[in-house]
Amino acid sequence: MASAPENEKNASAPEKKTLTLKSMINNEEFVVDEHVALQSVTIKNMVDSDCAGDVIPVPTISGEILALVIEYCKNHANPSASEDDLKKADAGIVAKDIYTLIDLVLAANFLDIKGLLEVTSQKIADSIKDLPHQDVREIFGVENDYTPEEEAAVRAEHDWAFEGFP
Amino acid sequence: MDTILCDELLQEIFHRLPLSSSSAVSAVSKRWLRVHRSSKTVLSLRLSPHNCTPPSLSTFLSHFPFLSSLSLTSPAVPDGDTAAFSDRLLLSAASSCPSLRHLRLSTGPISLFPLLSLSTSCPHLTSLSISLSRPLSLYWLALFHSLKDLFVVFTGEFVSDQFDSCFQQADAELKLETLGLTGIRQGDFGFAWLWRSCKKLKKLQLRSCEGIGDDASPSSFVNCLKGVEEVELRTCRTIVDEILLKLAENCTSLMSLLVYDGGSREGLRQFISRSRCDLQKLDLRLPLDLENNHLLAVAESFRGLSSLRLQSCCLVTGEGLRTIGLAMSYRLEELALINCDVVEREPGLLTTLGQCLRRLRKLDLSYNEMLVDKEFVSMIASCNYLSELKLRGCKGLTNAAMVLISKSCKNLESVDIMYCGGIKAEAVELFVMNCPRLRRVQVEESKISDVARSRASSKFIEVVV
Repeated sequence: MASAPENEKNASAPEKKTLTLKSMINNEEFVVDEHVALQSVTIKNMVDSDCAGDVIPVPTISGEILALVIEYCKNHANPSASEDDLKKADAGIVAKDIYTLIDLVLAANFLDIKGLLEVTSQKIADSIKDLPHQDVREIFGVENDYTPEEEAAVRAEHDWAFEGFP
Repeated sequence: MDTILCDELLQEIFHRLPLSSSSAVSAVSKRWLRVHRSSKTVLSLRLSPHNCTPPSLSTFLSHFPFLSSLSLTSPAVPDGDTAAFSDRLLLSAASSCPSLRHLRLSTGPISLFPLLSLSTSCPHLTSLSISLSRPLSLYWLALFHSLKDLFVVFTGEFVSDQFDSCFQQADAELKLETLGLTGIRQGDFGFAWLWRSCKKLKKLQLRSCEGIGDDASPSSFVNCLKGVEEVELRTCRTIVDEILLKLAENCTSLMSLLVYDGGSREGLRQFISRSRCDLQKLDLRLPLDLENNHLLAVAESFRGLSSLRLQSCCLVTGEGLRTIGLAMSYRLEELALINCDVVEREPGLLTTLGQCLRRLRKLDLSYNEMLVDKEFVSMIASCNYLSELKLRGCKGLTNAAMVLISKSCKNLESVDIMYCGGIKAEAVELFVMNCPRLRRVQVEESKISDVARSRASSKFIEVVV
């Protein structure tokens, strides 16, 4: 851990390429080291195929969410971070309300960042696992298309059909 | 509109939900139900004629396109025709789940026709668990080309028209690696072919068997033992000695042997002294005749032994166990002395074992009800590498023992202290707070204080009650 600042110094010695990510929702811009941004497979594909200009526009993702994504990428681009450190940092990033988490999982999916998608999905699962289905409907804006009979049948199913292989 | 998350993202989340959330998630909407079902690969159904008929089973299963493991049980058997009910269930399952890899049917015995149908509709089946009724036939196995694990329970009465042994089927090349058979009786036929056709067997489990098939010659049975690495014999009293002798003479690959309830003094002695295998694990329960001599021979013959489990061995004394301890001092990683009164009878024995067995990782002293702190603590003080400790039902242990465990065993990851009346909630709390690597603790719910519970959840410690 003591060597972390030194590493950073060494890494910054050669000239570093940066990319600018711009949220198209509120026009916020973020200047990011290229190797940090390249953890997004979507951005990597754009850079590899020379489709990326100086500023990469990111549609449908707000600046607030983009900041979280970049924080995640920075943490995971740091070679001297231990597994425990990363776990703690990830937990901090996803310690958000459910609506932010839904935006974040959409962003992770759009930018194709597998690790972020996984931790966010896990956090969403943890947040909704004990909720009644009416609350889940409300959070995700789902309309109930069951008749009361159908809903009762689906719920009864769980008395005799369950996951697992005893 | 329910389009915030696409199906793939919903699946990502569903995969991470615990089973208890299934019901709520399915009740959200029809789309969520569909996505939830298609996220499932493993399913168990508890069927009764009230909730399921074979045609409705077919329809139901067609909603699970990615099912790879299916288990069907029926607690209440419909009146009369149980065999026909199971057969029709199997036919429905087979036709609806073509990508099935693991199938377990505990709904009653199956007849030949649905098995033939299963072999064509589920060609990738690798594991099958069923029951068959007499008269027995096993030739259908040759049709299952991917099958690696087979478990069969034999049921039913003998019929006068037993299997026609003149009808000799040519040997097959079965790929079976694990074979578990329950309930072979004297007078059963049809096994010679099975033994001859199993040339790749790695694991053999026999339970409540009185024989190995009346048509099976010793040489045919020996054929399947040649490459076997693991053998488990449970309540097979009449055939244990015979099988042990065959193993000793013909099997050099054996690594793990388990014998529960059986094995005579002479049979065990012959196996231990004559076997040429490099046994790693030995697990014996209720070997009534197991004596010190056997343990001395084990120490001599099986120099590579890393796990020794003894349950309810009443003739063994401290002398035998001390010899094992000295001979195995740098190899043994797992020791179980479950309900062995020698542990309580001989003061100082555990101390010696602890001092000898420096590499011990797993220790199980369950159900030694009279075991007291002083004896136990003097052993545990030397077991610094212990990662797993089971003390279930040790009623004589108290809070003091828990304090010493947390001081001596800094590498402990899993502990079972269920039914230990002398260990109270305050000691459990102290223990959970002071065990840095603890991952799992089994204890009564009433002994988990709020402090212990919140520590457990913040440190990802699984509490099993």
